[in-house]
Amino acid sequence: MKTLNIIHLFPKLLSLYGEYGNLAVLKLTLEGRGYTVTIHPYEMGEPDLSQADLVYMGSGTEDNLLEAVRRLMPHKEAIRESIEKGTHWLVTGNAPAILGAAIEAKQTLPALGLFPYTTKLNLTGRYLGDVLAKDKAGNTYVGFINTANAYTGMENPWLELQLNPKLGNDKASPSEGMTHRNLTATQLIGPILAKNPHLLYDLCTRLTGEEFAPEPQSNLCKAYEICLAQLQNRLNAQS
Amino acid sequence: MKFVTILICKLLCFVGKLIGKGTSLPGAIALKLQPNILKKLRLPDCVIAVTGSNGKTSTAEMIAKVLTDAGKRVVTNKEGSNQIEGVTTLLLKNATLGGRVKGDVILMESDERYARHTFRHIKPTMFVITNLYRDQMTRNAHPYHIYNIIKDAVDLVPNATLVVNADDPIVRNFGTGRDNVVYFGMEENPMSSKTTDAVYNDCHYCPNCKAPMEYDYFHYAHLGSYHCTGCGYSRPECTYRVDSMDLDQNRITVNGTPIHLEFSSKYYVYNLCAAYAVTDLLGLDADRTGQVLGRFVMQNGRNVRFTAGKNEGFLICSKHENSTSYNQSLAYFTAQKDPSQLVIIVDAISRKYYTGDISWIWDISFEMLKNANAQKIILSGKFAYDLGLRFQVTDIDPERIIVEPDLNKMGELIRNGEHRVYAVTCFSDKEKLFSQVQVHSPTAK
Repeated sequence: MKTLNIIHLFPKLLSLYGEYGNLAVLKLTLEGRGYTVTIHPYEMGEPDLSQADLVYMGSGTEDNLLEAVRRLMPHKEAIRESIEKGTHWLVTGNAPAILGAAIEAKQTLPALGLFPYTTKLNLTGRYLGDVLAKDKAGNTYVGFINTANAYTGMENPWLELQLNPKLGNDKASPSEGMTHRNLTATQLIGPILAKNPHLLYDLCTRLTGEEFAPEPQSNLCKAYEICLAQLQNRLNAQS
Repeated sequence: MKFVTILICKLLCFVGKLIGKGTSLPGAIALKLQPNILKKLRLPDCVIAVTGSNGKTSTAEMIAKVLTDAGKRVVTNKEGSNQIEGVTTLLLKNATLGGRVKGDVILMESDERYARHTFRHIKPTMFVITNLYRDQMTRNAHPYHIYNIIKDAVDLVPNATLVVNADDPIVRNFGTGRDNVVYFGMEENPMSSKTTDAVYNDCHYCPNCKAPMEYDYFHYAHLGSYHCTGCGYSRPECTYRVDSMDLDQNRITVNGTPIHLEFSSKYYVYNLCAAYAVTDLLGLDADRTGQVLGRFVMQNGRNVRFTAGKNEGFLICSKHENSTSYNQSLAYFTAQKDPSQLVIIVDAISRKYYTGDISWIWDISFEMLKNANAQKIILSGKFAYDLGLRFQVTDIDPERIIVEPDLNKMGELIRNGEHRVYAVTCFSDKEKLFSQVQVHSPTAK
């Protein structure tokens, strides 16, 4: 069976909301089908992205976000190449800011510049709330946003928020996240693959070329159904 | 106007007591009537505030116990209403109509997000900061966000003596550049370890320069003895030290004073040490303090004995959305030698509304249960399946795990089980456990 290599960028620096859970459930699912999964942690130095099947990056504190930019800046061309050649990337929480053009905090600092959007950090307050959202194919996602980031100029949104629609990228509209080739960037925090079975299984399918389908009796699917029903009730109550 | 505001607040407190309603409303109304009412009060010379993610209530209760034993009249928000409205209620309720607060000491448990508002009106003479953990992230974002908020409060009281946990690298930073700081902490002991018990370390990198931190030892989470490999930021020398600890024998010494433990947990020991520090700074007799703290039993109902069928049970109350709290409860459980059933209940994360954020569940070190003496681990409540998935990525034998979201069925399982029951849940969910068992009076084990 094939070995899959996953690069986890900053499992210590950017690990604010149980992000490792994404890779833990991905590994569990893939290994359950006989794949060998190796997770390569990266904290500093030169990341080797050349053999990566998937690159993952999650949430950090605002200071750590800026530190991550500093550490990756010398390697931004390798990152651009990885994304453009179609390697799968999943970037969650506030980490999409790292890939943008600039981050405005007390002063404006350049980010990696791989995408034209800019990020403004809210240094005194937070944008947070539950997420119930749909993608263009009609899949429904659940999750949570907890961020200081507001984006300007983020294109190709991934989701449209239904609950808390003003938690979108620009904190005014429901457009959430972005996609580009095989990169998915989202504000959703934490173990989103442990919350959304269709997302997990779709990623497994795309990584392996083999069909993966949700198992309705699994803990994952049952947890999703409960969360979906609860958030749907809240949405219905609001409307 | 002051007279009228105080009178109205007292009347509202009286009515509230009759109808069993909250502790914040009278203060909220008083603040509406006279926003600067707190500045009009005459306070005693000693005003103590306690804040931090965990241990506020216990530490304040311990301090109050020692002070009361020493004959001091203590005005304290023991109901735990720790935002500015609750503090206002507390002070006006205990004030003369002329505005003099009757008491020798004011002791305020301060919400970490609201201390900066309270301190605009009330300046503590002593400010205790216990720790900063990941706690209620849906409200508090992250520990460094809360650090910045508490820093505003610290800066408002330059004359207060800070009593700060030296073992917490985030909290220790409040003492940087300040003279009137007293540190407390726990020395290395047989329970210290070279690695953290948590699945994450919020101080893996230096809070100041982001260079890697090195630890000589951990006590738990990010607490221990540390130094930065870049800027040299490190654990300072402590004025108040837990210099020996034997949790099997339920005893510690703080600065050489022996103290019996009613609850054997490192977490609890930190609270004791903070309380010891405060009362020693106030000049109370150390031996007497040790004796009083040794008899201390938490009154907040967070550790409760119960019976489930023929099985004895013990609730170790934790805080949802606080993985450190859960880890300490699980650590207490794993230290128990008797064969048992463990039930973990996560049903309502927020008391106000449903929230789907389960990131904190992934931050709990359930892996430590692998070798615990739990014959069965029952996962229950609305989030039972989320817990079940989290357990799937541990190497705990799945045969030991029962996922039962239905709380009534969970009750049947523990009543019909063969062993003593330990329950871990939040105080917001504990009534759901109590509805299934026979509760004894709240007490430590």
